[in-house]
Amino acid sequence: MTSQHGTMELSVEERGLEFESLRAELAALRRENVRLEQQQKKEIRYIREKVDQLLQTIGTCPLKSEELDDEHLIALDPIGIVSETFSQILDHLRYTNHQLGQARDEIAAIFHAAAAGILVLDPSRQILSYNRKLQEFFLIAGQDALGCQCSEAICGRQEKMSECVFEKVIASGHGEHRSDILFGDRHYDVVGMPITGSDGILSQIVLVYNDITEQKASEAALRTALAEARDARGKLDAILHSVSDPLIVVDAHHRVVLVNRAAEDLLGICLHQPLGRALRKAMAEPLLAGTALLSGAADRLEFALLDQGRERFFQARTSSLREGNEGVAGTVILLHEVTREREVERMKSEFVSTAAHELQTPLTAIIGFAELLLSDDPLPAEVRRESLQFVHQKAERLSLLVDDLLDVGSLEAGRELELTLDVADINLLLRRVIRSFDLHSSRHQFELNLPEEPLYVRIDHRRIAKVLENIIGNAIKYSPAGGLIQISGGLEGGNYEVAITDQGIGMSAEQRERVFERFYRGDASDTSLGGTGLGMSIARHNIEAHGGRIWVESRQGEGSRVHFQLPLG
Amino acid sequence: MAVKDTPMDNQRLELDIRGQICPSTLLTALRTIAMHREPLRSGQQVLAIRTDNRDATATIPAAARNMGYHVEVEKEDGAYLILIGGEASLPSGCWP
Repeated sequence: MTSQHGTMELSVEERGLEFESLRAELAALRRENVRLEQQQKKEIRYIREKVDQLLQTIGTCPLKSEELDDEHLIALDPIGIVSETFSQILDHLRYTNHQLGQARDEIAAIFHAAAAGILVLDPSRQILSYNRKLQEFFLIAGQDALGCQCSEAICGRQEKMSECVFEKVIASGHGEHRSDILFGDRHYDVVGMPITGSDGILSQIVLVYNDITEQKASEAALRTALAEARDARGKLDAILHSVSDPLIVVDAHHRVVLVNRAAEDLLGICLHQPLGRALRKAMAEPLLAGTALLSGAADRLEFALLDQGRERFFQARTSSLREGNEGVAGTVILLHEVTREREVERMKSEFVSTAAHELQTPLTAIIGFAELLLSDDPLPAEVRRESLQFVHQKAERLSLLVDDLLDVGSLEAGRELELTLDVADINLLLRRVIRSFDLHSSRHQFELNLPEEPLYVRIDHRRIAKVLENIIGNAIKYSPAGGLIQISGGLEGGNYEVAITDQGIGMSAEQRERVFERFYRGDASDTSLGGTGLGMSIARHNIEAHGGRIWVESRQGEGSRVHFQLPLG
Repeated sequence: MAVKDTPMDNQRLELDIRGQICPSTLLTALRTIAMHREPLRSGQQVLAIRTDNRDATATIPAAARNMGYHVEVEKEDGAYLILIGGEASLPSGCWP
């Protein structure tokens, strides 16, 4: 059948057949669709299962369908993400393993190179490992202690249980330390550290042994050296303090490193105050001396210090301080006081002019009277006699002066005075001496207080008379006209004591202290009083040569009293 | 879900996964870490993840640490801020 447009029209039967065919095709397609849906669900389920499995491995919860639908699941590609994650985890593990391997090698190197003995134990004291130093400390060569009990292999029952560091670590669960544990003749410091597993249970204990034997010996040696140094320092201080002259030690930079007590007193500084300071800053006054000496300009220099208003002279001497072969380490400065020597020099100088004057005066009189007597003019007998008496008197005065000079010569030469001892009545001697003064000094009154009976003692009567003449002469010289001079004598214990008291000008404390010094004159400026400054010094030597003693009581303006004692034996 | 470079700091990657729950938060975080593996590993970049899922503060840091990254967790404005970047340091010890 053909349509009016020329197309062939299908019959009803044919249409029915075509419809059936289409329906069958649709059914097949539906079946295919169902199969595909089932296949997709199966694959998605597979993906979800695998993703969940992987997530579980990572440590998280399964993927929920309501959270991530199938469409987004496919788009997110979870397997790809998790695979990439695993890849990174594996890379990190490889890196970590490499690091751990290096750390293990480092620890092994440290373990065997350590200067301390290291012992690793399990909680039952079984030895798991130890290093070379521990083998050296406690084991014999070739001995294998692995698996042994530490108490047998190491301690050998020497260590007291109270000192067992292993026991302490087990008990406390943390690090322990014990000092100076003795194994045989060696001393050790022992440190114990616990190692716990991931379960928190103690799995190993590490014990570290440090041999401190040499350290202890060094400490003991150091203590001994310190004690010796202190002892040496003490001796040095004692020596320094026993040096009566001020002593200062400076280093190569002229800083004070040592001063003794005398230097401290002299310079008015504290013993430790100037230490370490420059000499010129520590001590202002001897600056000139110090500077000149330290600069090498002189090895000996004299300077003056004003001490409580009194000028004192010092001679500074230096010597180089050497330490081993290291050259000059500093300078020792010794200040020697020469005030007395300078004073004696001054007094000697004064003595020369005084002595010349003392000699010149009677000589002039002698020459004058001698010329008178030798003149051709006839002289009356009385004048001749008086002239001869003057000559005799002045000659005696010269004789006494020469005696003094001879005595001083002996004493200056270090010789003792020579005594000519005879038994004499001391009371009579006193009376004779006083009578001679009484006759010649009408200006003064004499009061004598002596025992009536004679008292015989063994003396050099010429020297004792000279002593008396000197003391009484001084009493006259320093007393105003009409002044009373009292002389008393008598027994005092086993001695015969004489006291001569005047009402003269008296003495100052310094004059009283120095009255017996050779060449000392109380007031050297007053030449009218005469005197050589030797009389009292010679008097003391004379009395002391007899085994006696002489002393003075005096106050300025109140007169003086001179005592001397002579032993009766 | 958004990943962006912060204008203020181009070394910092911001990932806001608030509203998501595990494990998709983890997968999202892992995917971002994988995409920026090298700069995150070297520490040139830091991944800042904002989440309000408490489980995520455990799972994401644990996975990142297993991968060898340095991780810090902070609390910020009622949410959590997980910062990932740089190499994880090895554990150190001292005398107790």
